Amino acid sequence: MIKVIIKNLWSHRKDNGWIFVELIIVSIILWVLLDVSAVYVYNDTMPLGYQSNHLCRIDLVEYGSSEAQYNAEYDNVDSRKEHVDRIVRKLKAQKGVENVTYMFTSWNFINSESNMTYDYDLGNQAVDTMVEQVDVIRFMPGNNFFETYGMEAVEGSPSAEELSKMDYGYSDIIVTEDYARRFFGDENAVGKKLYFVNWNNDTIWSPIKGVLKDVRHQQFRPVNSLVFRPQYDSKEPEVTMVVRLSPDVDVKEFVKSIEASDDYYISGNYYVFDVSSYNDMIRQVGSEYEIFNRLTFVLTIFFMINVGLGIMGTFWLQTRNRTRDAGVMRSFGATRWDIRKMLLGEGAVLSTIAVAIGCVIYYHIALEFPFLSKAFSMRYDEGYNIIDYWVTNFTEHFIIISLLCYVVVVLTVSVGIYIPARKISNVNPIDALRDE
Amino acid sequence: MNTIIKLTGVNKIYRTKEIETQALDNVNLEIEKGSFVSIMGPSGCGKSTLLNIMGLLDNPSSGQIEIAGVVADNMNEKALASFRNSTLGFVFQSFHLINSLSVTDNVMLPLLYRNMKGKERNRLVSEALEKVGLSHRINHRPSQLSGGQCQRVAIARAIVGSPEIILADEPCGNLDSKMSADIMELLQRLNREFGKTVVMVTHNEEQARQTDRIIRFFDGRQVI
Repeated sequence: MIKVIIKNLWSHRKDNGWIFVELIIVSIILWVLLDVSAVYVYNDTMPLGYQSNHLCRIDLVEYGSSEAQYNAEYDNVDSRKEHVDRIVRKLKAQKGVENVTYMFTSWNFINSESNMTYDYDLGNQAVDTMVEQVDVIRFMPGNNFFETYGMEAVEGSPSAEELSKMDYGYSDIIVTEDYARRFFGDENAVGKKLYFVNWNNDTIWSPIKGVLKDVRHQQFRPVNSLVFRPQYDSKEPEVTMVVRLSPDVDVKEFVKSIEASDDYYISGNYYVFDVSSYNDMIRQVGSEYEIFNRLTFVLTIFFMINVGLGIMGTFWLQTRNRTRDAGVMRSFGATRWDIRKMLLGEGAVLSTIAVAIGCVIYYHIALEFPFLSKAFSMRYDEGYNIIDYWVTNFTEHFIIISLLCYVVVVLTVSVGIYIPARKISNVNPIDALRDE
Repeated sequence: MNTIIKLTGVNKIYRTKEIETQALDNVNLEIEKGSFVSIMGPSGCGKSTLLNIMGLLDNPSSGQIEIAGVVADNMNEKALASFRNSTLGFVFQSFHLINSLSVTDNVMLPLLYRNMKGKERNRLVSEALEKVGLSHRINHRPSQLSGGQCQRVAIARAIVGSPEIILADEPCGNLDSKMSADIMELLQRLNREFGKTVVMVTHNEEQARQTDRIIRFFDGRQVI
């Protein structure tokens, strides 16, 4: 059968030539579009590493010195902490609130660029030293940080609750499992040390106190390595609070109740500036940051539908022209399925060769133009130490997207062939033989 | 008498919204195994319809068809295809060769639907082409052959799977007298030397006279 298929393809090479070129071009364009969409969809399905359900963020800000409610007495570090603690107590007293944590920063887990990047080093006698850049997140020990977020520690590490309560030295750190693996090969890093060189050129050794499961720091990126450093005080006036609600609480109702609380949550110079649920923020971030990806996704679907219709139309015409051949074949013992199988086989062989050539062409174009190869091998901004997964692995990435491309093209071509093939194979052989 | 084709009370009616045409009217016919039979009659008398029904390419509106001892009524599509493949060989007036395939591939067509090794297929194709005297044209395309050669290829295709019955629908209809004579000779040889039962539709009295039996049709009815 395969011999006949190849012979048929060759003998129809004039017609097939155009389809073949079309399929190669389609494969290249589809590769680019599918790549973006596939990576986007895959990343979007990666676990957050924390529990966003029933999680709210409350931003506290201070009255400015020109505002009537401003009180200069409260404008100092100690007073700020005291008033924030008072608001925390009020929140904790509210029905349905399970946990509250806060930090003196505007940072939050889904969208912040305002973090620090450190170069931690294994410092292995400077023989085979390795440096891994990482985002550093500050947390305040003793205020339920990790369990409020719903993060989890890896096996062998103190639990999230224990990590929140622990006493920390200035340079103690908690790392995520991906970061631990980069240095030590596995996540068993508790008790081990890394160092960094501070702005004063001092070498600061950082004992690892705990290892957490990977967390998605920013919603529009995949999981990246993180280091958590304790922060006991801050001169930052802005406060971000994170509230964990019980599962039976309606998050929207809670948000409304905070918004409607008037001056209940005012303490010192602090007042509630904004309150929102994490899931709402994730959706908002999605619409703001992923608009390009969404656009590409829609474009891919649109392209695929159009190309699909084009390919189907071309194959439709070609297949319809084979009605007489189908009649001959059926006269000599072919079943309907034999006819369909042969025509589908022709489409599959043509698509396979075209996609293979298209992907190889794209591969060479991508190697020639670095911005393209970056598009599928190192999709994310340099400096973000994201986990090692198929997207970041050039070969794996190329194979996976090429296979995806192949499946889409073969399916499209098969549909384009199957419908007319079904029709002509169902024609009575006598009628088919009359078709000239 | 060893009957290989038996038609009992066969009717064929073509219905459209406006009219109803009786193509075959109560046909009762028996054809002996190993005979060379011609079917004659004016255009539109139902000759080709009869041949198509005998070849199980078309269904009768009523009546029973028995070919080589098998009643065709209850056969499903797969069984029907398999039966056509093994028992029947068709030769059409306009050859119906697949233009995109070579002579060899056209002749090989019926063997593709059999579970058979490539070597065996090639051997049978060579034998069939030898029988029709076209061994030297195996790689040619139908478009590179004369009408007579095309019909020889079509005959080779019809006999390659060693069917018991060859159904030829005006096999010389598109050929000149020299080529027609060649084809008739070939069909006779297949009948005499290889024992094939040949049923041929023709308009040509002279060709009909060369067969063992002439069946005449008029307005869908067998008149002789």
